[in-house]
Amino acid sequence: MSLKVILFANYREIAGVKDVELDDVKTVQDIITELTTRYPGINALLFQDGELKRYVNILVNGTGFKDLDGLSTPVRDGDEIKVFPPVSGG
Amino acid sequence: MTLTPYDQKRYNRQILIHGFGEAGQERLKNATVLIAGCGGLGSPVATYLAVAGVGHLVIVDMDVVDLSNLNRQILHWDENVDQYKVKSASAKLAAINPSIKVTALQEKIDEENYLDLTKGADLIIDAMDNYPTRYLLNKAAILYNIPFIHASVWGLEGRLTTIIPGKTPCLECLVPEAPPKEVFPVLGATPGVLGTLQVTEAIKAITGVGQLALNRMVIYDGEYLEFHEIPLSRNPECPACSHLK
Repeated sequence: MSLKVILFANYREIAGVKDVELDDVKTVQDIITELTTRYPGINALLFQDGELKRYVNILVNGTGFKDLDGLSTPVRDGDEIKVFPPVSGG
Repeated sequence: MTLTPYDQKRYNRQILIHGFGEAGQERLKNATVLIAGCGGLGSPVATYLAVAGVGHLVIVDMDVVDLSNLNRQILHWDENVDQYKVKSASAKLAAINPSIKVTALQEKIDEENYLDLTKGADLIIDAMDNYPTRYLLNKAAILYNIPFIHASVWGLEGRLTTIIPGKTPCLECLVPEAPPKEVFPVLGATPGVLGTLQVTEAIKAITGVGQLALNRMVIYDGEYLEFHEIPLSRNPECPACSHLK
């Protein structure tokens, strides 16, 4: 099962890549776990005390994951996932 | 204030825009916009609001110009290094459009002064580089019930959304806690893009032309020149705006 994850801003920089194809992931949680396994540096940006930081935005086919089933949101082949950090420059 | 013959000629090309007209230009002339910050975003924001004929710009910035600012802060030049940014900016803006009023305030926006600084503004433009100060501006917008045009940049990427208190999510709905402050990488053209988008939103809000970017975060990904959108909704338990129905 293959889906596409698009990374933005400093997540993209840490991963060194914009698009990540993932197989064998069934939920948004699986995606996060796989990303932090492949790109350990992303851990500190995504998590605070083991919890996903509240300002991390994850879209599943254009809808925010918190408007679906949160980290348990099911994902499947062909889905497009976007992961946005907050950005603060000006 | 009505338009003078100078105004009618100077702003002719935007007066011609469908739905804009002289009425729209008068609204700009009578508007006061607070620009919070005169750096990467603030420079193009102030410049484009000035050339559009917004009658009163209030620019607030505490900083002096540093050489490292000059890749992006286009209102400041080499000759302005070590000068207060508001002094550098107001001199340029006076030359760019001598017919508008510019109030330049060299101040740090904090809990003591944020309500006084924003009083009388019709709209606030976020040209800040940190969330704690953005949260104060957000609170001011809520209290005064005025639009708050939020933007932020990083590298070749930027974000923007227009906040209307009580109608859209406020900034605390969207970013409930501040990310750590950092020295951020940024190409000058990035706040150039976002700043001009902020001005476009501001002019639309003042004149009524077009449709604002409400309930959505527009993401500019300059690295691939793609745009994305994050749909946004209010947090019913937001400490800043949940009291607004």
